Amino acid sequence: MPTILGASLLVFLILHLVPGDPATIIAGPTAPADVVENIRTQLGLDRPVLIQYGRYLAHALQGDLGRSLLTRRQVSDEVAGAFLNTFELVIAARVWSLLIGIPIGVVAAVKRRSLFDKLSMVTALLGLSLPIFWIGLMAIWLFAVQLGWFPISGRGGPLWSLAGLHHLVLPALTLGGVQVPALARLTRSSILEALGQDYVRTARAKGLAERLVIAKHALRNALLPVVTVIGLQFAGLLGGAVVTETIFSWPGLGRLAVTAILTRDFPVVQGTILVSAVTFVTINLLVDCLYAVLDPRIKYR
Amino acid sequence: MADRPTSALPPPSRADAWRRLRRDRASVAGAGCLAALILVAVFAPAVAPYDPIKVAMRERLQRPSAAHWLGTDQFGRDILSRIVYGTRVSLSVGLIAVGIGLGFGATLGLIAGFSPRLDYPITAVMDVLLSFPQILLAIAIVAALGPGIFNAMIAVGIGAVPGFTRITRSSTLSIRERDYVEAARALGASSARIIGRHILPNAAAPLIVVSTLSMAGAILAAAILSFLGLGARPPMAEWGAMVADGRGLIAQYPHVSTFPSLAIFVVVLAFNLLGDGLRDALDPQLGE
Repeated sequence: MPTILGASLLVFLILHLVPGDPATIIAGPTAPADVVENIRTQLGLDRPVLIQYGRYLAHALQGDLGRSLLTRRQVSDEVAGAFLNTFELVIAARVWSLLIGIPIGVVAAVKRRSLFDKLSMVTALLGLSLPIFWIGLMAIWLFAVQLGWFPISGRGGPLWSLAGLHHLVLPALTLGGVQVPALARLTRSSILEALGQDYVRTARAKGLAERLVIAKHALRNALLPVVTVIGLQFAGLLGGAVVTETIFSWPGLGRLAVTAILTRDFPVVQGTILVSAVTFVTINLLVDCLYAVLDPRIKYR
Repeated sequence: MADRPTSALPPPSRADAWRRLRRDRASVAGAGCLAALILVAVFAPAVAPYDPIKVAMRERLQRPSAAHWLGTDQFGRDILSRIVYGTRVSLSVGLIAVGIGLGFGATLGLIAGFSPRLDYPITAVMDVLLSFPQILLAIAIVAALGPGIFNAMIAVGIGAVPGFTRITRSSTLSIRERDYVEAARALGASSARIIGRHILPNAAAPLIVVSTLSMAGAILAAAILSFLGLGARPPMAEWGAMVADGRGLIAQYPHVSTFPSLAIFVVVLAFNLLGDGLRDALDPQLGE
């Protein structure tokens, strides 16, 4: 909670140190001085910064993030719609990257020094250095332009509709693809470490089938660091979503933020960044709770 | 860490680390690649066959050929020359951003680790900074400063500060409890001397590793900002911006955005390889 407060203050301060006056932007460059002054008083921009922040916070807690300078719509409405779209994209990317990344890491660790291990780890190292926008552009070039399997860009509709799913595939593939290499590498090293532990030797010594040793003893213990990284990777997912949404014209938070920055629509910038930070903090909190589920030794008071 | 039996081993000597690093083919390859790129950046005017920002509409959108090895973009600019000059931009972005992160981060980390009174406020501010996904923090800062390559460097640099602060703080906390620091203090050494002679040299290894890996991250982040239109302004030859230039042409002319992407890939990979190698060399316990 203090972190979220701090984050909101930081966003607020950053955007209030901006050169350029919101009142002038709203009124337009040709507006007479008294009109600009009027707007400034209306928006409370003539008050001290801390008072402005207090008012912003009080309104934000009631779900009011101000109005867009450009469209005059409620920022909360614009952000809420965009948030759901980003959420859809991030979750789809997260799910498929976990479904690919973790098994690759497990197999690479279990079959250590095999061809699969070497190939997948070299690929992971290379993949770690690929810029996300190029993965997106290549996905468009291959699957949309050359093969024509998926649409080039846009959101097709709700997730449960065929068009919605069809449009989701490429952006989710791009966004999730960036996360796979790190996940596979970490899972592998984490399992390798677990396999070297005494309890694994004990389990083997008592004649447990190797499959059970891995599934019940190694994997469960190796998951803890993996879960940490899954949580931390949401930072990468939210950041990557900005790029992915721009490439695929996906109407999410990231694209909203970038457009708002380029048009200097500060209430929208503030709203999008604040919502992203709150989301990220919440996710990390959930991850912390997941620890307790995975590891009974950790107790929360 | 203390319960790990291996941590009883003395840290590797500098000669040990150096030997290990040179034996690791991947990091030698990374270092060689970086050396070549630095040469390219320094001698860009001699290396580049054409002027990187000269528009030649009659030669627009040529595919790779003998005259233009990597083809031309929609303004007829030679892509190879633009990539060569872009090396300068990317390497300096990495250096300046990591310099900002390391300079402020290490200083704050030392202060936090050394002064219990300042520890809490510094850690609290860093936690707030860490509550933003790094790219979003950079975007927020660019939103305030205005788009531009220099502001992008500052934004990426500020985003790197909390990571450096954390590492320096935790090394400082553990080193200041060691016997040799205790001994130095008992002999009447000043705080400044303890920091300069004992803490900094012993905290340097993780900082070197993180700096190298952060170069990769910073170059990638700055390229992303430029790709989004928040970094380098046209007509500057910057890789991320070049990829953005080719974005709409991906169907017919994939080479326009592919070659600058590959350039980013090579630099980032080189720093990652070297960083991984340095980590293994300086801290063998972390290896397999």
